[in-house]
Amino acid sequence: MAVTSTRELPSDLQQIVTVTRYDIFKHLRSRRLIGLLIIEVVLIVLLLIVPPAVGNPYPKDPAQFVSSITSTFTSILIVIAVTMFAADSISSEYQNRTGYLLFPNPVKKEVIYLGKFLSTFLIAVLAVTIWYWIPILAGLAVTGSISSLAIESYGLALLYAIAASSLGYLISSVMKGSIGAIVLTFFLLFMILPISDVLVGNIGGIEPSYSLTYQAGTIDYIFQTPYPHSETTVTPIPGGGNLTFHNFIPQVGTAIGVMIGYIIVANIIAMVIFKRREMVG
Amino acid sequence: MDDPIVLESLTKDYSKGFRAVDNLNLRIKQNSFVGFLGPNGAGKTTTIKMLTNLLTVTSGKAYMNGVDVVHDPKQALGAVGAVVETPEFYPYLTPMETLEYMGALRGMSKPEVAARGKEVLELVKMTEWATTRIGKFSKGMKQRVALAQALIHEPTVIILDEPTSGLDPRGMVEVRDVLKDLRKHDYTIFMSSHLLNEVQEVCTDVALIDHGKLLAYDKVDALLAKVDHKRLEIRIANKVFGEAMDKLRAFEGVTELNIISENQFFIDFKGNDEGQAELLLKLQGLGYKIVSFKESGMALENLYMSLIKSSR
Repeated sequence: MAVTSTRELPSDLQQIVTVTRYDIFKHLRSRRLIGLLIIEVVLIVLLLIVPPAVGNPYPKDPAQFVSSITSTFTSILIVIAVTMFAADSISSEYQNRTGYLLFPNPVKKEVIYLGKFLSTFLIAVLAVTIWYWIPILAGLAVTGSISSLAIESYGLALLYAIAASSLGYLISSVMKGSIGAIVLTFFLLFMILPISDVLVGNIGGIEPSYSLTYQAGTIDYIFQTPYPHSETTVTPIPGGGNLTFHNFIPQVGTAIGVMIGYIIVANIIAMVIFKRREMVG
Repeated sequence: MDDPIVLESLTKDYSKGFRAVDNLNLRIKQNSFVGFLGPNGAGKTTTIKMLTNLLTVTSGKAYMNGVDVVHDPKQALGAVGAVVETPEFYPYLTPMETLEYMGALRGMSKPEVAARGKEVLELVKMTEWATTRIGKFSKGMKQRVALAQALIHEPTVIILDEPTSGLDPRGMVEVRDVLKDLRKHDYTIFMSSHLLNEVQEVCTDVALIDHGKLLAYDKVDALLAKVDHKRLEIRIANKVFGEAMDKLRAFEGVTELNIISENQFFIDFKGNDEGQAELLLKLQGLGYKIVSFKESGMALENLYMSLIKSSR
């Protein structure tokens, strides 16, 4: 067995591709990815079969056709996907001690981060694409056309999935354990932010523009023509006084800006934390 | 800077002011197999983690093949293979797939990894498990795969952190056999351990550390030559008797005598090989029928204990 000297190391880009490839491989072998895709397809098939079976005809409008299938579950599916594919991506390297295998290699931490994030990005794109494009193509078969609103909603859903993944990576970089990262990511996107949207927006009267879940509302609102607008309802209370209820509607342009902001800021902070994080214990 | 591993005033402070490595200076020569010896908490693993970019450096420098690990970890670790702590593996990968992953990160092509992977898996005796997923492997098997991944890219420097730690006796023997085999090649090996017999068995040089400070660094033989204090274990066919024991205590160089059973006793002896041979003759002269007369424990242990004691 000959012992040779230094070999030429691959570029950062080549290493990013390698990390991505093996991370996707992990999700394929762990059956998480297949599981999510099966859930999606089963849901779509049920939503396509059940309404006509109980006597509700398909909508004639292609946008309404897609919306009738996607609107209920898009956000929750994205939250589940982010929880499965982003939340423990970094923290598991520490908790499971696989970092002792990966980190002493001649690979920059930023490269490992980007490789992992790229794998999550690709999985998110795949999951959202299947979720939208089966209904869009089914809508084409039923109504004879494809709605531009469905494509716009698809774009917003993709952006939301990537922004939520970025937030998941930030949590994963900070948290010590995988379970904590998974639980926090899920509850943040599924409960904490939506509840704060209601408290701050509907009750407090301040538009929660900072909130990712609030801006994600555009994914469904975009199907409505004309696009809805914010309104405030004042209801007199018997015995005196008024009950004011604010119904804020996120605007598409702002939503795109906020989601891109989340992607940039969360990833930069997450990468810096990951780079500085030590492998102790 | 020709030496493959150079530490210059390397220091690591943890939070709450605990200094794990204190101004450590060390140069590891090419093709040497250096045992980095010290008790638990001495700073061995912290030093190795700084060398492999797993921990940040508080102050000082660490160079691998002349490249600063802090400023350019990618290049510094380019020709280094490392096994730090007991790494865990991705359970969904087989040993061969793990080697492909690690090899790809180091720029090896798939055919190159396949050929080299076969060699290293054979070296660590894991050939028959090459295509079995690692998930259910024992600790010993994982440690052998860890050694294989450290060797896959034909490194010039190998860093091992207590490679037999936590293994059962059989696993320890297997890993030690691999380590001895590595000596036949032109690697520079830096191996931390708290097992004195292991270091004496496989290493060419020893660096002793305690409280983050270097206590001694020399060739194993040179350090052993400095040790003139030995414990001798004597087994006899007849029985220990009092008068002879009193005489034995008075012999030159005998500092302590411990009777274990009626046929066995220990002598703490200070002297050279000549004096030790003389002692054997004297024992026979006292009427003892010697069955066995041997050094008990490791000579290195005596040096280790005296250095550790004086550093505390």
